[in-house]
Amino acid sequence: MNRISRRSLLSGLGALGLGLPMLESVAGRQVAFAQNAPPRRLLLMLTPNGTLINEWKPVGSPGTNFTMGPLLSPLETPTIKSKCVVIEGLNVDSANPANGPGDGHQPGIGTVWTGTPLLPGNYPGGGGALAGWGGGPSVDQVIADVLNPQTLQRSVQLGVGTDTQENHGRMIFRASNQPLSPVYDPRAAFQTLAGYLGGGGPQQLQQLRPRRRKIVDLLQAQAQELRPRLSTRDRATIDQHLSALSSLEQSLSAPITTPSSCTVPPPPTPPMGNTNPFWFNVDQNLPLVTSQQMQIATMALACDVTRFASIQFDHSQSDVLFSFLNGNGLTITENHHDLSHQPMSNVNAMNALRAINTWYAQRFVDLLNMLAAVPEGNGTLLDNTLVVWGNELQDGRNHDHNGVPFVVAGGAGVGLVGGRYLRAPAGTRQNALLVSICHALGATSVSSVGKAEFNSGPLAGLIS
Amino acid sequence: MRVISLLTVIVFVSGCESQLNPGPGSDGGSSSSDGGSGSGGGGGAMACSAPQVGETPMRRLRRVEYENTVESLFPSLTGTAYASAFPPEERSFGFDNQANQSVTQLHLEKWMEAAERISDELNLTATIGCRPTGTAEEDACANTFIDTFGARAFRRPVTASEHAAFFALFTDIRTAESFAIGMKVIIQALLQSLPFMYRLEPSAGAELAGTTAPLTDWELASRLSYFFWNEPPDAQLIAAAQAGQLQTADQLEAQARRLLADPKARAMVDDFHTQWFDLDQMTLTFKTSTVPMENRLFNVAKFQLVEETKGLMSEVFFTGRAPQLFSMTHTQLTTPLAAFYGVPAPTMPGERRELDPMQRRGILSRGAFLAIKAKPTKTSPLHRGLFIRERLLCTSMPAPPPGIPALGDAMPNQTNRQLFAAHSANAACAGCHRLMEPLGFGFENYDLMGRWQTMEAGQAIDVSGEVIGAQEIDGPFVGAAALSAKLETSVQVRECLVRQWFRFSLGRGELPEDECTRSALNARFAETGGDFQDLLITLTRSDAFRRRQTIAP
Repeated sequence: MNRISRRSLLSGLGALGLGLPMLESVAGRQVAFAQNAPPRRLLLMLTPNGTLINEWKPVGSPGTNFTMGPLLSPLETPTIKSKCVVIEGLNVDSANPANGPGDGHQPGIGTVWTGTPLLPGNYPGGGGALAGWGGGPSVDQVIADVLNPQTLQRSVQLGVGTDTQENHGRMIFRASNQPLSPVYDPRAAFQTLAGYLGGGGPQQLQQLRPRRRKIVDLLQAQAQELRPRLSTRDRATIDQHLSALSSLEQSLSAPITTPSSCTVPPPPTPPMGNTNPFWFNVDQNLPLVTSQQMQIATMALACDVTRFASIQFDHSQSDVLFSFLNGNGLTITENHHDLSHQPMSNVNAMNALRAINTWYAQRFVDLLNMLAAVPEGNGTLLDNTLVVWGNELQDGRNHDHNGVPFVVAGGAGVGLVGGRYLRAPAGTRQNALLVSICHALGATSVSSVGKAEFNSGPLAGLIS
Repeated sequence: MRVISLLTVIVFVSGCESQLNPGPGSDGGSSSSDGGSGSGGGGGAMACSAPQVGETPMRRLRRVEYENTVESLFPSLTGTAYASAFPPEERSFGFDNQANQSVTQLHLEKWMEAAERISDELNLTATIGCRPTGTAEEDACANTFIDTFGARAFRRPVTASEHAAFFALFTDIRTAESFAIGMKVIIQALLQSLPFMYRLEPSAGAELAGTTAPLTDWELASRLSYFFWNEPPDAQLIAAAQAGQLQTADQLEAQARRLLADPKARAMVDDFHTQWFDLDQMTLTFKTSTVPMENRLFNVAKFQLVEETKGLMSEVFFTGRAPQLFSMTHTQLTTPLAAFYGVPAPTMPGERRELDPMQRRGILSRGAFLAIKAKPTKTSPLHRGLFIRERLLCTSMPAPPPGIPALGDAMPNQTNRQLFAAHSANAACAGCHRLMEPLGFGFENYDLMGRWQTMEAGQAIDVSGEVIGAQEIDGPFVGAAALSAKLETSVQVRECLVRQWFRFSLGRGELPEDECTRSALNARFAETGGDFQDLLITLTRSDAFRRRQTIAP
């Protein structure tokens, strides 16, 4: 949460007082949900700095006869537990320093969803290590490439306190070397997603679209004409540009309708009495911003603006000061990353880490409850969404990427039977989970995600 | 591809041992040996006869540049924030103006919305400058507008094929809607065009790969104006470009001197210093000292500390020489700063005041650096040392190895130095950490917010440290003032400053082909005793600024 740029200070809030623009991303198109099966969605969530794995692990044995570990105790509620599979023992080898560049924190976030090491590059990490962006598409983009659903947004990236512009703050990649930035101002995210539904309505959008399409045509021709006159490296940028133009073109042709399950939450607002223009990056406001971004993610999925959403908490090596959890004998004066390097013998630090990790589990439960509150078909949005909660690390103290904690939630629509504790066979990599995610979403042709040698098929027993 | 080649010019070593002996082409002051001669001499001289330049990718308008550019095109739209919803720039080398920015659908949508808002909010008649009646007059109006306004938006003349495309778009929309909408759509399309959003330097035609070509006058005008002012070329630059008067080094120098003398250049210099020193992190720097009074002092002073550092660095830039960054002992005193530094209040704000030279020697002894590079509850010799290593010595270190044991607990009555000393005591950590903490220990006389302290945990503070791996300034020192005295004379620091300005001005890292330019810059910067203005002028005269690599079709 530490990087407020001077640039964002300058840019300020001017745009937010104005009328909501007519955004393509918002035009909430509807597939005929009533007749057909509702679409399958994916929601990725990442929290930082690892966990206390022995308190995270379920108590009991793999299968259905278990109790959530202390740090996952908020998931013990029957309605939640029955939707969740706790997965133990996945190694994120793509983040192992032996396999690619980066410091202790850059590769966890940048490879967990891609399954392939970071590229070399010039982003300095802790201790001066250098690394670049992700080395391949993240799993959501892999699926979007296969299924290519006709939605207004290919994917929606939301952040909570993610105001950072380097590779330790990016987890979603359109392709190798193409990071997709999370939107961290909830008002900007809302504006992008709700502008249409809260604004001038379909007629105005219909009026704008022919103009927009013609301009996109011109821009595509312009890029093609310039391309041969530019350097190899610039041509790669032009290709990214052309790819983004074709996504935009596609959304300009998507039908405009309003799904019945789609409701727009009220626009996010700063806390009462706030005077800080960057309130959404202030640690104290983490709970508020979390709730706002989760509502926006739910809306984006319910309104079928996109099938692929993600919520990223801060950045890897998160330095959030969780002082808002203080009370009842708990006093947190060190930031999360500093705490994560404390030894087990530091009782205060361990208590702080317990409170932080439990807080994240509660937010995961909040998210599931929001999805479960949206009726869809014969069930709820949660039944048709695969929610995957991961972490950049297993253990923050030594930057351990083995046995990284994952919880997967969802329902029948995505072939998930919950209420289970799954222990992966020794040496299983998260790539297996990524392949299973593809299969759950209907991209059954995918047999490998990320680096080929890290792949050996899906995670047995996860998806039915 | 480029990211890989970059690694050849940045120190990237598998262990911190090799940090100490930077080899040819690596980071650690490699060109110091030829730094003293006048004409980029030394070992690289034989290769420097023909112009050489590293690849300079196209650069996108930063948000601040977008705002300034829109404001210059539409003077009635001042003070509006059109770019505030654009995704923030990604940073590289700590700078937000680097060329390697990704582009996604979100970017395009935000540019589209901004262009639509702008075309709705401007005064259309005043912008297009005609009130046509009848199709023929409308056509004439549109044709003229595309050429005149288009040239301003693209910062160069519009080509015939571009003109045809915009005119076809106009007639399409006019037929479907109206003349006025057609004109608005021209503006929208111009503002979303690649030649507007980017500074492009394309080939003129078929070129032979592997050599260099001069930039056009228009491209040079944009390089100058966006570098010094963050805005499009002004009337004088446009006139010079039209007249073909930007091709010689002397012509460029004259323009650069003019731009640098303008108050607008101060914002650019402040921007550089802010990003180089991470000063923008002060916004989210909070302190929880055990003494509530101290917290209050800090909260009142913290943004003035940033202004102090920016002001002093700017003063050195415009009126001093680089070594003064590490030797100056004065400040521009305000009441909160006086309280923070523990000196009598000024009679008027901004009063120049000498501070205790043992306590406040140079920019590293001031509250902004010291507070930002510390933790909320304690100092951090690690972060202070790492900053010096990376940003002042331009070196970079490998990742910590896997399986690092945790740092031990802080015991009661243990000083911060004793806590951090664990890093150096442990063999697994010491190889790299001895390059960081021993620099940072010199600052233990400053507390977590940068106030002077002499006792900690009931003990007198030990501020002895050691410089390792920085060539002639290597060796032990006692206290921050002594360390600053070393940095003041360091060749590696001086060449690192050149490197930082090179990256910031060109929007990219240095490449092997830039070796001649850099060694000439190093030599000149040494000759002038560290004259920053001269450095920027020399940069604008260099091949790296004036030429590009040729592009094979």
